[in-house]
Amino acid sequence: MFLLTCWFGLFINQSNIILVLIIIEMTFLIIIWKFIITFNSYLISSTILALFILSNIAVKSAIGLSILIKFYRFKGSVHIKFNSNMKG
Amino acid sequence: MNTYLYLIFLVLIFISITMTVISINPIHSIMWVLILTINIGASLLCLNQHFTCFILVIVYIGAITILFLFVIMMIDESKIYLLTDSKNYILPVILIAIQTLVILINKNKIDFLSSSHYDHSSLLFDINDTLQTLAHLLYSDYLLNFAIVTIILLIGLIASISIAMKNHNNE
Repeated sequence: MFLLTCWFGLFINQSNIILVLIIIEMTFLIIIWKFIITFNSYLISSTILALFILSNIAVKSAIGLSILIKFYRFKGSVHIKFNSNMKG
Repeated sequence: MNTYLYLIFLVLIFISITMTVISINPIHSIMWVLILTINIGASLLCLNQHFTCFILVIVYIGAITILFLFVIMMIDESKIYLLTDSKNYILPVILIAIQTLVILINKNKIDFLSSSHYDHSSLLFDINDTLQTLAHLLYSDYLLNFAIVTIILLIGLIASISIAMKNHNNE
């Protein structure tokens, strides 16, 4: 239910790319949270795996935001509607 | 008592997820992510997961949210706003009501904190004991994974710098 709402947000969002990145971050946060809740009785293992997932999320958000800055310099805006060059 | 607090935090988490998805201005949506992180940390405190709670709150609020705020400040403010100005409030209200009903119906499944088959004493670690075990495991059993994670962090650092750097040869 929680994850479905996030993915629903990805589809209804038509404004800009920053919101897409924020929703992806939130999705990963909820994934970690459900993971910890599910494996609550294995406290040490769930904590270690949560740490590994968290470091990957940090790397992903840094690279995504730097690509976003490059995209903004290249196109001049971050709207999705106007920048439809990615259709291929 | 813990169970009812946990239910309240579940409803708050869903409200903040929905508001993040619905809100148009990215700054508002980042503020809702912040509230979501605080609620998730509080719900993990109800499960006695102290270390993960504080790590999540520190990393998300201190690093990732601030990173997004910096990028939003770098991009021109007037180009962020959405073209359509119609805000629909019916959809989030319906979603929040459905989720609250689902949580209240499945209350017996969530009610594992006070259930009898669950060994409650195994959760009540000493925090120093947990940290020592974590540090020992990270440097003994999970050493290879730990090294791979450090290499991934280094690659991410170099990649983000080299992508965002201005290329003066093309200008």
